[in-house]
Amino acid sequence: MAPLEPWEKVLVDGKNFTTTVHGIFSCTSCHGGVQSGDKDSAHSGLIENPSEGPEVVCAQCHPDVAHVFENSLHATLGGYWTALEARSVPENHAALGAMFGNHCSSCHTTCGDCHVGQPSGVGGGLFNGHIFEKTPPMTRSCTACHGSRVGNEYLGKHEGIPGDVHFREGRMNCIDCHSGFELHGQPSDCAACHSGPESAQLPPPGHRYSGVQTPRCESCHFTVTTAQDDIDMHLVHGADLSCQVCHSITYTSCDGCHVAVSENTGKPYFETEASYLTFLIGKNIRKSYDRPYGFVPVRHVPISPASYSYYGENLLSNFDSLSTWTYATPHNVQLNTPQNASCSACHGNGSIFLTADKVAPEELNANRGVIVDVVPAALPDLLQAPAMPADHNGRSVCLVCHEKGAMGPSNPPDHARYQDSICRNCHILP
Amino acid sequence: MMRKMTLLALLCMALLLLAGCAGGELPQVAPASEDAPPGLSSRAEISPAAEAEDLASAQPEETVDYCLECHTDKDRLIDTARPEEEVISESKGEG
Repeated sequence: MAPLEPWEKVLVDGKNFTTTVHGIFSCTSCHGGVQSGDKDSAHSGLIENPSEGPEVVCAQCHPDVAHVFENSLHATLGGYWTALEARSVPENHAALGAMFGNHCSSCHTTCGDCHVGQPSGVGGGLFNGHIFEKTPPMTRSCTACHGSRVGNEYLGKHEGIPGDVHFREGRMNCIDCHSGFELHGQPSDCAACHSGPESAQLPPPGHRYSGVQTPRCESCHFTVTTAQDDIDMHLVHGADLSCQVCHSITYTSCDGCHVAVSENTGKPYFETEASYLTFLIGKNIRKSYDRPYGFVPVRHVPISPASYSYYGENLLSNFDSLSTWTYATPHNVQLNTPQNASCSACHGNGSIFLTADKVAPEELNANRGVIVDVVPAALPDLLQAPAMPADHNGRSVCLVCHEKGAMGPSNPPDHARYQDSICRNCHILP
Repeated sequence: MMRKMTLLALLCMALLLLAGCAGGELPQVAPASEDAPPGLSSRAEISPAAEAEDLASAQPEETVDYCLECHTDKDRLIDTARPEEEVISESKGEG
């Protein structure tokens, strides 16, 4: 995204902004400073970003949102610290804190960073003459920061790889799935409003994949979960595979990010060893009630034991405590993909799975929970299912006899979810 | 006689009804500045109701919003902009 000119960043739409509800207030009410025709005098005590800091101006009119936003991941950047703390020891947290302040904290987002102007991490500047946008412009807000992976994948910026169908066909932006309710966060103390057992209290998220899964594909595509969409594979694999296993395509992985402060300019910088496109299925290391899948797409994150060596030696002494191939939800969903073209795309096809040979030797231990040890059986092996007797020709009701073994061989336990319509996929008439 | 009494009674009732409609002040619509949360001041210095009352007797004072005067003027922003520091990013690869 091209940076704004200095004047563009602060040009106010005097005609339209002053007629909005926020335009009623004097500039100095939020921004401080002094009413003066001299720039330096006017800017004395200026608060560039009134939505930053311990006393957020926005809270005076939006107390419900401001109160909970301080717990959101955009504000806390809790996901970073969850990973840093897991991979390090407390003795190294001071050094990691210095690193974090130089290289990570710029991702911290305020109300204004979404609703008034571009995030400060990408140079800042007003969106639209200081008019507040209830729904931020996607490419100047969301993908301005979430660009190299989510933005490029969703918008189809990789040559030869289509963008997400929700964008291409649905013309949906980020907010259509990631609601303001989700992004604004949740209160830290559920008990303040809700009664119930302490065990039911949900702490603020420490990672984007913690807690209740939101958004969920099933929220709109609910027929997938109710067996009303005539897609047999949704019944067969619905709980075993995340949606993206079958409906995502090639996405970005990265290797080896190292950070430092330039000796020439004194400014922080980073270097990533490599970025490449892959599609690999790994085991779900975040298996839970909300994410019950056995297999998910996995993405390599550019962390290495020496990523923060500028700030100290061996700062990530527990490096292997987290995998480097991580649970991923690529934002490039398609209806038809190579994976769902046929069963053989996955069954017996080791190339599509994160097997040990694809993992760097020094990262094998870290990824032991993600590596697929046994590739799902090839179709011929799978289809060693007993053939249907010839006298069953024309019969379509299988479970009456076979579900509990009332009048024939009983279904094995892994057939519990299967319905009559899919029996013939494997049990073929002679 | 009876008819005259009836007419007189009707006239008195009509007068009473009309008297009930007269008088009293119109409800004042609170100006926006009175609803502003504490700490935030309105761009208007006087309320619309007060302004209407004083219109005939006083010249309304023109207030200059220096912030908007500058920040709505593209040329002035260009002229007064701080020289932009050339940023040479040494970062390499995807961020």
